[in-house]
Amino acid sequence: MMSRSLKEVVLTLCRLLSHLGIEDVPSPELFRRAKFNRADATPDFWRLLFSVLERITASVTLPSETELDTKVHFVKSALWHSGYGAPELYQLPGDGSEGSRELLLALSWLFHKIDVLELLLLSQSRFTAGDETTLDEQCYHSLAYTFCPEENSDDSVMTGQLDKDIRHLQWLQGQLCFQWRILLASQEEMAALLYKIHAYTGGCHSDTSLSHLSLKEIRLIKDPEELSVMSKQLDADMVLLESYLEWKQLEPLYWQWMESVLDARVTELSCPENVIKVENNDVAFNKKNNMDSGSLAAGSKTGQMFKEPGAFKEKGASLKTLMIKKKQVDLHEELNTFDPSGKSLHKVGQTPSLLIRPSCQIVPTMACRLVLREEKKKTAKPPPERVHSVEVLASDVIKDLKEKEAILSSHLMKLKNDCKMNIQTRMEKTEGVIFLPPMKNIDSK
Amino acid sequence: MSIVTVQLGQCGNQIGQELFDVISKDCHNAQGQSNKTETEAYRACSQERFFSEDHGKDTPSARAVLVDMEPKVISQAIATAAKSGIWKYGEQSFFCQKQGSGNNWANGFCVHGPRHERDIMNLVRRQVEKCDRLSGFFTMMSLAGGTGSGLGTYMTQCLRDTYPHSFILNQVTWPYGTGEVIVQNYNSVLTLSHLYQSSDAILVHENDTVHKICAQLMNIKQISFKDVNKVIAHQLGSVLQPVCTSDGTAEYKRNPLGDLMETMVCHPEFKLLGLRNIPQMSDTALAYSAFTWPGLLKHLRQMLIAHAKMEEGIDWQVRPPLPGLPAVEKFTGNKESRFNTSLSNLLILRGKDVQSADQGAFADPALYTSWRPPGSSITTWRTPIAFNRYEKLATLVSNSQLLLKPLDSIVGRAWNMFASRAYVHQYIKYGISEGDFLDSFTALEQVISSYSNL
Repeated sequence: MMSRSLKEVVLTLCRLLSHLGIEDVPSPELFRRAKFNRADATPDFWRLLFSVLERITASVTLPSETELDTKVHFVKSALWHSGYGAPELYQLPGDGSEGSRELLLALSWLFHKIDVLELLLLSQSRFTAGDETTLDEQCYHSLAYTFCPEENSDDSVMTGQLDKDIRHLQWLQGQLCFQWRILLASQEEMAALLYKIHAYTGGCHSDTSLSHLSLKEIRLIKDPEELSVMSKQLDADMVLLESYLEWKQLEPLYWQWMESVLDARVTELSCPENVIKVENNDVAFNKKNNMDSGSLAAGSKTGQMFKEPGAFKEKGASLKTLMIKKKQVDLHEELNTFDPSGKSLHKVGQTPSLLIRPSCQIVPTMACRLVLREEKKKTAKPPPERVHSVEVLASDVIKDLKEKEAILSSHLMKLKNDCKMNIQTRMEKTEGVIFLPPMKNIDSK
Repeated sequence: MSIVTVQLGQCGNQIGQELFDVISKDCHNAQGQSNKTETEAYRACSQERFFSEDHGKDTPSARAVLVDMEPKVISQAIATAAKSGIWKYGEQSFFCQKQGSGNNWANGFCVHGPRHERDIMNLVRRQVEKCDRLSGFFTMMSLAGGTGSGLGTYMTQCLRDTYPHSFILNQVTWPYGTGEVIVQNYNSVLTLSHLYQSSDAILVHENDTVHKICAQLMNIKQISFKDVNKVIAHQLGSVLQPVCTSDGTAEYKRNPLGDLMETMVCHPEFKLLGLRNIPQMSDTALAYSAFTWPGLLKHLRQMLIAHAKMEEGIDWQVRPPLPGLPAVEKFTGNKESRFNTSLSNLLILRGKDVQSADQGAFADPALYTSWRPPGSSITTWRTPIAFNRYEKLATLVSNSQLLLKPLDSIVGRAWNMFASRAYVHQYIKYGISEGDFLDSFTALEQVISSYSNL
C-alpha cells in the first residue's frame, strides 16, 4: 500500500501531466506497482513514455493508436538519442510486456536530465497578448550545418528519370521560394497593421509603460463575445500553472521515493543470475544498436561496468548518493529562482539540454512582446522598472540580425563559388556539351 | 492585398484604362447579385486590390502609374477614366515626354529608361506607400513597340532591383504575325529574353487571337484597337478579380499575384502564361444564351489540348496520348493536330452554381508533362459572383506549349534578319551590341527547347 503522502505526490504529477496534454497518464497506483517491477504496469508506462517523448520530438509524428511494439521501438530510440545510457532499458522485450521499473526510472531521468516537464510547459500554447514576436534563434542552428556535397557522387550520364526528378525538384524549389515570399508579404502586412493599432491606441492603456493596447485587447473591443473564450483560456492556464507549482512543492518527496525505487533495483540486480542475463543481452544489444546513429560509448561503458557484480554494487550505491545530492542542490536552486512570472521558465527555454538538441528539435516559444515607444519619451525618462521583462530595443535586435545575415550571406557566397568551381571542373570532363551561363542584365548606363 | 499597376506605352495605357473600367463596372454590377454580405466582401476585396480611396472624395483612384513618351494616349486615358464617374487616375500619377521612342527597343531601354528612371520610380514608390499591404506589381505593355517594350523592360528590372521580394507579373501584347513594325521581331526577342530575367511570370495576349475573337465570337465588323483592348481587359479582369481558394473556404485569396505564381510558374525555365475564356460573346448575344458547366468545361478542355485559342474551330480529333506510350511517340503523327502538353493549369470559375462544376477532366495526368506528379498540376479557384454580366464564366490560365509556335516563329524571323545584320546598327547606335542580341537569342532558344521537350 502506497503511503498517503506519496500517493498525493504521484497524483499531483499525474494531474500535471494530463494538464500538459499528455495522453495515457496511468493511475498513481501503477507507479507503485512499477517500483516492484510488476509486468501488468508495463504497457501503460510504455504508452506514457511514448506520449511524452513524441511531444518533444518535433520531427516525428505517430498517431496515438499506433501498435504497442512500434511505440516501444520509438521510445527506445528516442531515449537513446536523448542520451539515456542504462542498457537494461534497451534489453526490455519489444512487445512491451515487462520492465515497468526501468521505464519508471527512464521517465524520472527525463524529468531530471532534460527538464521534460518544463519543456512541455513552454510548448503548451498559453494565453498571449498577440503582440509577440519570437527571437528564437533555433532557426539559425539548422542553417549552421554545413552543406557538403557528396565527394564521390556519380558523374555518369543522366538517365531519363534523373532528369525528370531534377525538373520536379527545381519546380518544388521555386514553389518554396514563392511561398516564402507570400509569407514575407503576410508578415509585413501584419507588422503594418500592428503598428497601426499601436499608433492609434497610444495613451489608451492604464499601464503607462505600455501606453497602447494589444492586439488581443483590440479584438475584445471589437468582439466582446470573445471574452468568455479568453477567460476560459486563462482559467486553463491558471490550472496548468497551479498544478505545476503544486508539483514543484511536492517534488522532493518524489525523488526520495525514487531513491527507494533505485534501492529495489540494486537489490535485485545484485543477484548473480540477473547479472549473467545482463551480460548476455548486453552483447546482443550492442550488436543491434550499432546500426543506430550516435556513439555507443556511454552505453557500452556502463555495460562493461555492470559486468563486474561487486564493483557494480559499490559504484551503483555511490552513484545513487551522488545523484540524490545533486538533485537536492538543483532543487534548492530551482526553488530559489522560481517565480510565478515565468522568468525561470525562460531560462530553461534558453538553454534546453545540450544532450537533446541535435536530434530532438524542441521549439520553445521565446516570445517577446512588441511595444511601440516614442523616441523622445525614451530619452526623457527611462521607463519604470518592470517585474517581468528584460527590455531589448528593436534596433539592437535588427543590428544583431543584420550581422548574422552578413555572416550567412558571405557563407552563401562561398558555397556558391564552390559550386561554380565544382561545375567548372566537371565541365572540363564532358565533351560536346556547351554550358551557358545565365544571361546578364545589360548595364545600360 | 493591393496590386500596383504600371501602364507602359500606348498599348499598356489603353489596355490598363479598359482593365480598370471593367473592374469598376464589375464591382458595380456585383452589387445587384445574390447575397449582400457576399457581394460586399467581393467588392471590398476588389477595391482594396486596385483602388485607393482618398479621404473625403467619392471616386476611388486606380493604384496605377501611367508611363509613355508621348502625352496623347495618357491624357485620353485620364480623361476617359474621369468621365466614367466611378473611378479615376490619381493626380500626378503619370509620366510623359514630348517625343516617342520611334519603335526602337534600344532607345527605350538604353536612353529613356535610365534617363527617367528616378522620376518613374518615385511615382511607383508613392503608389506603394499608399498600399497597406502590397502583393506586387502588374505591368502592361506591348512586346514589340518602342516605349512599352524597351522602357517597360527597363522598368521591370528597376522594380525587381527595388522590390526584390515582391511579385511581378508582366502582361505583354504579342504583335500581329503580319507585323505593324519592321523590327517587331527584334523588339520581341529583346523584351522576352530580358523579362525572363526579372519577371516572375509573363502573361501573353496575341493580337491575332484577340482579333479573331472580335471577328468570330463578338461579331464586330470594323475591329478597332478599342475592341481588341476590351477583350484583353475582360480576360485580365476575369483572372485578377477576387476569387476563393480551392479548399472550399469562402475567403478571398489574400495574395492574388503570389498565389498565381505559386501554382503556375515555379520552374525558372517556364514563365509563359496563356489565357482562354469561355464563353466569350457580344453583349447582345449574352442576354439570350444559357450554358451548363459541364458543356463549358468540355469545350475548354478541348481548346487546351488542341491548341485552340477560342471556342470556334476546335479540332475535336486531338486526344491525349495513351498512357504508357513512350514519349517519342507523342511527337510523331500529324504536326498540325499535335497535342498541347501542359505544365500546370489554373481554372477560374465565376458565376451561378459554381460549386457544381467539376475540374476532373483537367486532372488527367496525360494532359501534363511526365515530371509533374499526378494531381498537382491543376488548381481551381471559384466564386459564386458573376463577372462582367456573364452568368457563368470559365477562365483557364495555362502554362503549356501553346505559345511555343508563335515564339519559335518570332525568334526564327528575328534570326533571319539578324543573319543579314538588317537594322542592327539602329540598335548599336543606342548601346545594344551584337553580343547582347546573341545572348537574347540563346536565352530564348533555351526557353523554346524547354517547352518543346515537355
